Amino acid sequence: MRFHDILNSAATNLWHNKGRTFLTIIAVFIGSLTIAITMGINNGVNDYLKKQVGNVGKTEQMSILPGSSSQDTNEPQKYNTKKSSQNADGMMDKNDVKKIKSVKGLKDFKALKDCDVDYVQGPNKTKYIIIAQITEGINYDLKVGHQVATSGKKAQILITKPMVKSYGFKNAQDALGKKVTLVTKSPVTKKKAKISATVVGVRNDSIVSKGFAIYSNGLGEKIIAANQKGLPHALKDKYVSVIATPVNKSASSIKKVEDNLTKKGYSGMTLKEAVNELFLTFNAVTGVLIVFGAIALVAACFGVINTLYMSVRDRTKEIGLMKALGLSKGKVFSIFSCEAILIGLFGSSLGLLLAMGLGSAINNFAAKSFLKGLDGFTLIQFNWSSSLLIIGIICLITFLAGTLPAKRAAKLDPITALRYE
Amino acid sequence: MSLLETRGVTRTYGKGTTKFDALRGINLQINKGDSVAIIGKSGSGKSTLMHILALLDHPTTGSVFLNNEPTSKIKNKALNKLRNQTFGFVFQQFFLNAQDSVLENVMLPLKIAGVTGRERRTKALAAIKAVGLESKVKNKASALSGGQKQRVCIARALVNDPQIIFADEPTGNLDSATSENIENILFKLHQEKNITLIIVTHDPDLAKKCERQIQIKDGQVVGGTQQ
Repeated sequence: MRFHDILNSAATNLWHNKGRTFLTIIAVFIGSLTIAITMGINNGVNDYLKKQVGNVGKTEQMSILPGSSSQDTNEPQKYNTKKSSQNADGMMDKNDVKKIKSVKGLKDFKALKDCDVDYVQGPNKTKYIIIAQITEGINYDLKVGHQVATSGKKAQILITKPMVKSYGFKNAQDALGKKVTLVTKSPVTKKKAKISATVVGVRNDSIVSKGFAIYSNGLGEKIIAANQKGLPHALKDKYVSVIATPVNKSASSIKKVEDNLTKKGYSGMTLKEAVNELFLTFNAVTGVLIVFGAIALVAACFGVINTLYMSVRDRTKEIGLMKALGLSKGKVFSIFSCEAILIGLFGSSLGLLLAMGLGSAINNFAAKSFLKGLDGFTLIQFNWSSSLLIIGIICLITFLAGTLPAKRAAKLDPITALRYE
Repeated sequence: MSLLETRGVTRTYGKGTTKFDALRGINLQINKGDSVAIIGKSGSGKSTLMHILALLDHPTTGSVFLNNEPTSKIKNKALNKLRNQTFGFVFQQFFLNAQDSVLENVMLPLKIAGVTGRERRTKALAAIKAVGLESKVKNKASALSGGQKQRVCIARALVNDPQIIFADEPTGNLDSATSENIENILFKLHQEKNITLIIVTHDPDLAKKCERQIQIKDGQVVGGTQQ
């Protein structure tokens, strides 16, 4: 018997028992739908992470902060050398930096000072407060322009999209090369200092340093110098964070470094981990969906087994006849396996199609609500390879479920099958 | 020339106290082009004998020879091919696939053999024509009368140009007029195409139309015309 005849026979039988087939397919369909949605979300999240983090480079760069501060709990905390009221404000001093540098497995340390800016003014002279940080040396996702200098004296700034309009630029392109003025004052002398910075790029909305403007190294130094004018030398060494690069980039050795930092009273987190942490909610959702989908598929397997046993029973005489007419065991097995695989194929394809439909509806909704402002984040995405993989896996599962009844059919003795009373 | 031959064939079912000897030493020879009736009462072992002759069952002891070759040595795959291409089967209960068309039913042995396309269709249509059912080609098998169903069965048995047609009570479910029609078709094929006919029946009238009769009783040959 040729393959297309086997397929035809399987398909015809499914068609002749439409109701039964349909009900069996539903279970497969539900499993496939949930798993496809899960996969879609995973794809969406991964794709976004790739866009956000992939371009950034240096995703293993670790930013190190003081350990748990007093804000973590309402209880008064006991004093020890690692934890005092003085460092509870989240700032670090020279000693902290020294201690951090003593942790093995890190290199390229850079201690970042706080830079306070009173306000910033664009071409329209309106005063705005600004949230910003000195560049960490990563590639920020830019709409236009280029990254700020990570060394040297150039005063450059990356602004965010909302800043473009507010500061009085026509559009992002217009802002490039123009100046903004940052005004800062020393807490000691109370003297205002005006620092001019060149806009070299406009950031896309991003989960990395969301809503932050980015200063070049030179601009940061200028602001800090203005901030610290007149400050006693001992007070100048205040740091917000230390950034460093792990020597070994494997997850296990990064974990080790982080554990060592924790022991010394600091907490380290790589950029990658920080970004991944943001997606914990999605992971929880996909986790639940996967369990649900798996349960549906297990139930579907029993459905397939049951349906095929019925099919074998219904077709006992036909199988007996075909075997008497010279159909081999293997071919009989194939016919029923084909039936199982077709159920899997129809169920998974339908599930995938509906998942795609639902996906685009959810994406539309998400873009207008909870994902607003995250450029380039399509929550549910499908691609050929993973869609085919889902169909393939489900077909395999239904095939495996079908082997039991198919074996029974293959073993049927034609004489017994064709006996009549 | 000997087409089918059995030597000391026994067939035992069950073990111990439930042991039952369906056949107890059958020796017979069927020549090419014979028409043979195997007659006997219900439970005499005639159906078991037919199953063994048609290589659907194996004898417990003794051996079967097809074209003077012992069949016990034939491998499963070759056996399937042999049954498909050398034998044709007609059953009392037809065993047609009710939801399939006449054409589909007749094509079944060709499908199993892996024949495809135009050849399959042409051969099936020729077989249907041979039993005079040209007008019902596209009808569903379930929509046919008993006699028509049996003619479809014969067409199905015929479609692979078999050397032997085994017919198990071919007229058992039919009224006498229809029976005669079916018998005529079978014997016509026997004569025109020189197909060997082996008919299992308890109907003495049908048996008489065959050139030879083999009487089975309690698993043994008890009479009839031996060669």
